[in-house]
Amino acid sequence: MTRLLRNLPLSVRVPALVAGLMILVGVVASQQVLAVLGRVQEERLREIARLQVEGLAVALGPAVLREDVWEVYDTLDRASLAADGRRLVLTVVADGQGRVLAASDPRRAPVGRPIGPLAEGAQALEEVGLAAGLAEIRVLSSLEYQGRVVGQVLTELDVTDLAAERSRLVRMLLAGNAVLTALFALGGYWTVRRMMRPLRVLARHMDMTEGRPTAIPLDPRHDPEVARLFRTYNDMAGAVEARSEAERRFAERERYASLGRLSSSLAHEINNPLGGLLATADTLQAFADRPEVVQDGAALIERGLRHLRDVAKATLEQHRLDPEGAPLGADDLEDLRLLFSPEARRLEQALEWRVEARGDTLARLPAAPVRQIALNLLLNGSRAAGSGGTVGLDVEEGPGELRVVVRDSGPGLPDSALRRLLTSDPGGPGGGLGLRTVRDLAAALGARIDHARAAGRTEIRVRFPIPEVAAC
Amino acid sequence: MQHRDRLALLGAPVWQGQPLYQSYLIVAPDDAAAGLADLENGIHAFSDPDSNSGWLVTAADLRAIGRRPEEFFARTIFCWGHRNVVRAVAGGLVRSGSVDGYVWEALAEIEPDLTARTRVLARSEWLGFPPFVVRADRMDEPGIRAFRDALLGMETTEAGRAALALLRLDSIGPAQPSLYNGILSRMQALNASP
Repeated sequence: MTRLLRNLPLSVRVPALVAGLMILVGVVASQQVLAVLGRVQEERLREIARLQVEGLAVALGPAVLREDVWEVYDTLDRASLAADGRRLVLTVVADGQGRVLAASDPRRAPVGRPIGPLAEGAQALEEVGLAAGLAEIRVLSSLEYQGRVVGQVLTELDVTDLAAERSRLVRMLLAGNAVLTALFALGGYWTVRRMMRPLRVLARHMDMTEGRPTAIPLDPRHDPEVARLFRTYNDMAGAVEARSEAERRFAERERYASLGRLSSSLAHEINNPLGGLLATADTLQAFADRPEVVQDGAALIERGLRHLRDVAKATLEQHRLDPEGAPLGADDLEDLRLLFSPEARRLEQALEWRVEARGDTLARLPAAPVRQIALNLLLNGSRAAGSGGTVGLDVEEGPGELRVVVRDSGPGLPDSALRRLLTSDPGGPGGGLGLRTVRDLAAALGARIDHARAAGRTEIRVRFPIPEVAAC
Repeated sequence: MQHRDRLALLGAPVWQGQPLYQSYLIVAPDDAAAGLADLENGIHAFSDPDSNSGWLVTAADLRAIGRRPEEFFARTIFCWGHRNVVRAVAGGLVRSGSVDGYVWEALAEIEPDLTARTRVLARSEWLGFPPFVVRADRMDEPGIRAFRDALLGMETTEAGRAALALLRLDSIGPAQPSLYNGILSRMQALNASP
């Protein structure tokens, strides 16, 4: 029940609680009213019974004393005719020995019979109460005349009208409470819906956000607290936007930083063939008349220039990071190798490179973010492995996924770096954005990142889900 | 009858053509009793200890079978009026009652609901209707004579007829002491030694 209530929306739960409270209040109020009514009715009954007994005592005292059956009966008979005949069902007068002298209905209480059986269940005059479900109650009282008890009076009172009044009141209370409860529940629902409109606006804006929260237009009619809430939300939306912008800028900067780090290696990579090319050019100039030298020199120059062209192309491709761009291919991984190899060579690191994925599998993922992820992890691994270390890249297919695994023989990632890579916790100061960029790009592609450390090696495994291709 | 030696008759009411009436023994309509003897140990209502129809007739009948009201009945009460006897029987206060037959018949016309709750169990012989009497020594007073003339001529005037109609009587007729011999004999029977 509690779980069911908890699962209900707030706009239903609160009115339901209001309705429940109303029912509770209604029940308590009804109980109070019925209790008061019961007391009033009992008081009324006591008064009727008291007046009856006192009146009879005055009228019948001498007759009871003389045991004058006719006089007692005549008085009771006239009294019952004079009364409205509804309340007093039966009046029995007994003598001092408890024998019936006369009754308003002698057939029910014959003369001379003991009053005891008739008085069974009778209440004392001072303690008359209305028992539930009883149509008649009996009251037994002593009959006093001139200060002494001369007999007894048993009065049977019809209380059906009181019971009917009570049940009518119960029905009225139930109907009234039901109507009021329904009205208050509806009122509560409407009020709470109104009160919660700002929250719905807030929730709608948050649903519409999709990574870019939009500000809620402020209305001067808004409640001050709601206005403050909206302002806080707008401030937060602005802060998120600013943060996203900053992250975009940082990511961009990181990309340039990566390239910057690569640039020295690339310069070296370009410089080496350039030296060879220049030497070849000198050779060609010196031995221009020797065709075999010229041919060899030209071939050498061509290989060098092709290499330079590939390096330039890889650099340009890496620079042009476009998430919506071309699909991933084997050549992208080859470019990556081309870009990273000089850095590995510079640090005299062993590079283990293994790509075992089919082209159509690779093509289901975008090239730019995967390349960026792999490059950042490789650069990070290379830096950790240090001079003479080992860095490796495995690209392999799994069921429904493509795994890119980067290994290094470094001392392992510090906690702050792991947090940046594996969680959305804010990174520590000065940590750089390379690993955070990996995490953000992976998250955008729905990829999972695992970290393992075994046999002196750190292994970062990024598992990209392969989107299903609809069968033609 | 107790003071007949000092009283003189002015006249007797004529009811249903004769100056006679009966004493009725009444019970509830559903009472199974077939006669006075079946009412033993019940509660009985008399009208008045000085009444002929409301006491004497029943007491004399009991005397005739060697019984007395106070021991034959479980209890006897006096209701001080023939209508009250009918009320006592009709209301169930008593099992049986001794009542003036003329009163019961008049009530049957005026209050049929009341008499309908009773049944006439036994009727006595016809007895002299209770008369108008005066002290014998004042019989010749002019006022008394005028009163007697007015009584005996009631049916001749409008007011007299209205009064007679109200009383359900035909007229007031002259009466002779012999009319009450029946009552006298019952009194004698009652007072006779067992």
